[in-house]
Amino acid sequence: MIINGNVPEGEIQDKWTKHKFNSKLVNPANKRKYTVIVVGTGLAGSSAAASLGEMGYNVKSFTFHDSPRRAHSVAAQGGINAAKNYPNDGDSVYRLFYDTVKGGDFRSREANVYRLAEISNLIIDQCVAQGVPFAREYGGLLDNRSFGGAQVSRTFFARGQTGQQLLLGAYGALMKEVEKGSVTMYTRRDMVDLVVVDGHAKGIIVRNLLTGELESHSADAVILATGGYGNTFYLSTNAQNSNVSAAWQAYKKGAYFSNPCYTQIHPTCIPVHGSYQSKLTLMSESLRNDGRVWVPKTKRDKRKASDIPEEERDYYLENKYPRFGNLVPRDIASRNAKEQCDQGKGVGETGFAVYLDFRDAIARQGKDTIKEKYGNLFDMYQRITGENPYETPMMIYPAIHYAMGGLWVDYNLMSNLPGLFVLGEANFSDHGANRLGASALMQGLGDGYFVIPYTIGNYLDSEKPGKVTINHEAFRQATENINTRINKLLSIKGTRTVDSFHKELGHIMWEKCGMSRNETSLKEALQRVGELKSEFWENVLIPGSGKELNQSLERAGRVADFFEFAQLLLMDANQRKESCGGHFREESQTPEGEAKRNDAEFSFVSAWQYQNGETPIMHKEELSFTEVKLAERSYK
Amino acid sequence: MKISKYISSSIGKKQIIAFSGLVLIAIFILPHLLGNLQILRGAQAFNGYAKLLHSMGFVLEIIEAFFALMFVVHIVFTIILVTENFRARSIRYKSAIASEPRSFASRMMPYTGAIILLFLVVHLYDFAFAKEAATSCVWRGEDLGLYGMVMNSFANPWRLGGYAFIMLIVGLHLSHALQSALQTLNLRPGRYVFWFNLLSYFLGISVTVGFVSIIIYAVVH
Amino acid sequence: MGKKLALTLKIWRQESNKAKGKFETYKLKDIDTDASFVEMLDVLNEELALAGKQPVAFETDCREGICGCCGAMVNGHAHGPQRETTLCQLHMRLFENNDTIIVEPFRAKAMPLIKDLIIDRSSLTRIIAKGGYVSVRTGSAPDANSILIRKENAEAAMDAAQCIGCGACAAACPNAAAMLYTAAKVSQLALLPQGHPEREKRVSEMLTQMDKEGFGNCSNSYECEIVCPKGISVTNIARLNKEYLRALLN
Repeated sequence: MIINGNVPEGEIQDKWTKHKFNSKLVNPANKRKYTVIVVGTGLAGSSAAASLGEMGYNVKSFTFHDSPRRAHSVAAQGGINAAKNYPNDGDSVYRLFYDTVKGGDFRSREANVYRLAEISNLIIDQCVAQGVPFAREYGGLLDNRSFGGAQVSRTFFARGQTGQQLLLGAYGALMKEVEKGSVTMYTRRDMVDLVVVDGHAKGIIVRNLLTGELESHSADAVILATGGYGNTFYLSTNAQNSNVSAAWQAYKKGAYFSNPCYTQIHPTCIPVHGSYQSKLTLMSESLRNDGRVWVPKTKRDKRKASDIPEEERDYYLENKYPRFGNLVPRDIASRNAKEQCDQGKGVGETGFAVYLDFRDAIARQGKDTIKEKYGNLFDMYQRITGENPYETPMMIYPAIHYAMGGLWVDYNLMSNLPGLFVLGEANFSDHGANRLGASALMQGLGDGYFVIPYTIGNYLDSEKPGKVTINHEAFRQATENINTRINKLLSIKGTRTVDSFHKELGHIMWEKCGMSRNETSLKEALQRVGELKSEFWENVLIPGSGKELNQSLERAGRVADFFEFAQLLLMDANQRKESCGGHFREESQTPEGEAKRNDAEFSFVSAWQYQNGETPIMHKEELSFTEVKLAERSYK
Repeated sequence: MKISKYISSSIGKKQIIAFSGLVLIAIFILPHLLGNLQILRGAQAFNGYAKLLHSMGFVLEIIEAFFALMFVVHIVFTIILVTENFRARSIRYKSAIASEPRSFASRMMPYTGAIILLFLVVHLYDFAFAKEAATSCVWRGEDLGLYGMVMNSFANPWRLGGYAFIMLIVGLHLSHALQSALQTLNLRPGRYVFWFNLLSYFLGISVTVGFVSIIIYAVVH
Repeated sequence: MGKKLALTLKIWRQESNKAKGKFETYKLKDIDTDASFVEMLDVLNEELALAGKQPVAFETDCREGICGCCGAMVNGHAHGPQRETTLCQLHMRLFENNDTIIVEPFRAKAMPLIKDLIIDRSSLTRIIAKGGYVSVRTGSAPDANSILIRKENAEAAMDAAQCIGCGACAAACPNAAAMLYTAAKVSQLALLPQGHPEREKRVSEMLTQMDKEGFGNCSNSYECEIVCPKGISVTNIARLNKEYLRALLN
């Protein structure tokens, strides 16, 4: 089936303005009567809940953390893009739009991306007014930097903690509404199911993580802002508790899942060093502004970096991509690092790392300048690795970082299930097959502050408020299903821990469906994941009960969903027989071995529909490009 | 903000303690030290100072009443604060908690304060007694008035040791007090924190040294 | 690969707030010095689970020192002995072979224990709810560059704004005061012109809430500054004091 994104008619510049005008307004006196559930309190969730609360809706906000401020948006380091053109270097809304579509390897919906670029400036205004301490110049004006392959300086930043500062801004806005009474905050609640009544999303079931109790919450609309699924790969830059479960339960209730095979692999992470390892830490890619990436020219060169003379170093990015050098987009930087390591030129204990060297930058700009720019990142690197990056080059390797795929949404950010809206990383909409640096924060806040407040009315206006209450049969049924599942998990009492399953799953996914993949590897992965999933359901060991704080049980539920999701991810990867974004499909390459997109066959968004455990059906949303010229992405 | 809210708040109470403390340093401790140091200049100078004080009569009583008020405020608010803090820490650690050496004086404040209070009571008693005896006190066969009394009392080694100990405590109290009060009243701008801390230690040490020098003088003579 | 350590752990175990807690001793072998402290706890928990015992409940999420979930007293130091480091960024290379490590939850009356090393820090959130923000409605902001801010002020505000809300300051404070936490937010917004219209109300209400939650008073022992994983300075407490006095006088 071909599905339709409900993109409004008209010139791209006018679509959003016209759409806002054509959107339904909910009578101010009636807003109070509508209850909206927002799951997740990251940038998208907090900003949406706060904005909807301000507008007068009755909002219920949910997080599994003890406080909204802990959502993983907090960890974003580099910055947030906007088309302000403050540095006067030729930026514009149109250029930001163009760069983002191109950077996404032409796999995103043009109209959504244009809207994102259009509202980007409002986000900066909003955040500054909230007191977000962005970097400033001596004149008191906002400072900008160039980031992640952009040729203009459009990135606003708060040291290496931009995500934290933006989240604290949104968190403040949220707490302001909580204090006012328009938003009710539910902390330490894990969403375990979506309740759908007559095809409409009308509530959720959450598990109280302190007591184990299942709670029903009904609403007139449900917003999921539950982040990405990077932890399917076990080792990623995501937080330990980031998971796909909320989105996955929505999928199992009928919401389409789009482009699950699009995961972003970030080039500058601290490499893997041991089997106990739980996390890969990202080093902001702003480091590539001054650091030079290199490997030894000789394979398996075990000398110390400082012992390798200049002429024996291969600055492969600078050599291969002279125009962009070390600042090529993330996917290209990642793929090239893998290529070098696969050739045996990798460095470090494992051979899966490349150098990011600041020697020249320190010599040119002085240690103090480098310290001022990256001091906190260098400190973090030293804390984790025990090495001093001012003296020896950093070692980096790509790691799973961001999920471009997610639940399918239309222009209103509503999924195919009426009443279910999906924001931020949890939806698929704006980044195509590859996200540009500093765009995730922009999208999260854009969706929450400036899109959903306008588009939710289109749905609510047609709905009678309070139509469904928690006494509805659907809530009872959902609760019963969840209880059955929890009891099943607890009753297995096997011999392997949840983490050991998760690690193995991650390993399969990274090896077979990481930066590079082919049909054989994907089929093999599908089979192995299937087997492992069966073993999980027969042999997982979960200590404790379901009626208490039980972190093993929480994790088990999430890993169970990761297994199911991983299968969908592999299927999607298998059908996409082209290289695009971060994914190198080995069957699809140019004679020089570069990634080759296949626009004729794959210029579409996949949208998978659940079939009760049978093979899911893939629908397509065809992508048409009226503004951006489809072209081979060349950074040479 | 209402003044009642201010007084009952944690910062309000602290600022009142800080303010009364600073006042006591400025108009009680320092003048007192300077006065007592007159002893080093001999009997005549010291007794002259005592006489000057007495000649103030009514004014002195007002000043004394003000001291008393400051002390009472300082002590009462401290007691409230310490009780509250004790309650906030009612859940104590079961293992040894590392604490910074530099916070020793701070942690000891309630205790050093209590010791100083005890001393004050004794000292006041002495002082009241001295008022009557001040006109005549024989030391080494000479009537040397108040000077004689001081010299006499330091002839007792217990008293001497006790006094020296108390002065150490006072020094410890003040070494934290000054910078703490300045911090509480935001009179310790970030850039100069180091210097204000130094000043605070200097005050503590000078007060101890100052008062102890009187003992040494007494012993030597 | 790092070196391997054998360790003795004494960890506070407590079923719930009502239950009685005690230290349990565990022996661990072959802990890699490149592992983080929480990864070491992961290893312990795997072993406990396989031995049919309850794993140690502890909070952790981002594992890069920014979410503020993790935290415990390690050998008497909040977040362990390394300065400006959260528990998840504390690495085992700081310890020696055959060390005994004592792990106790953060304690304060206003941050009660939930289970093992997990505590309830909702009191910190309630303090923010009383005004730790600028009341600006979505869409009502002026152009970002219409507000000029001295670079020094922006930097000082950023220094204060780094707080991750972990509660270490209150845990290490001899009086269990959340003064540095409260000061960080008040300070950030006092340093920026955006925060000025509400400054008196903000400081007054946030402080009232702090007192109400049962946190103690600051007695300037500055333990908080030492343990703060973000190195937030007690200068901010002085600024909070000033703001409070200012609220009284204005």
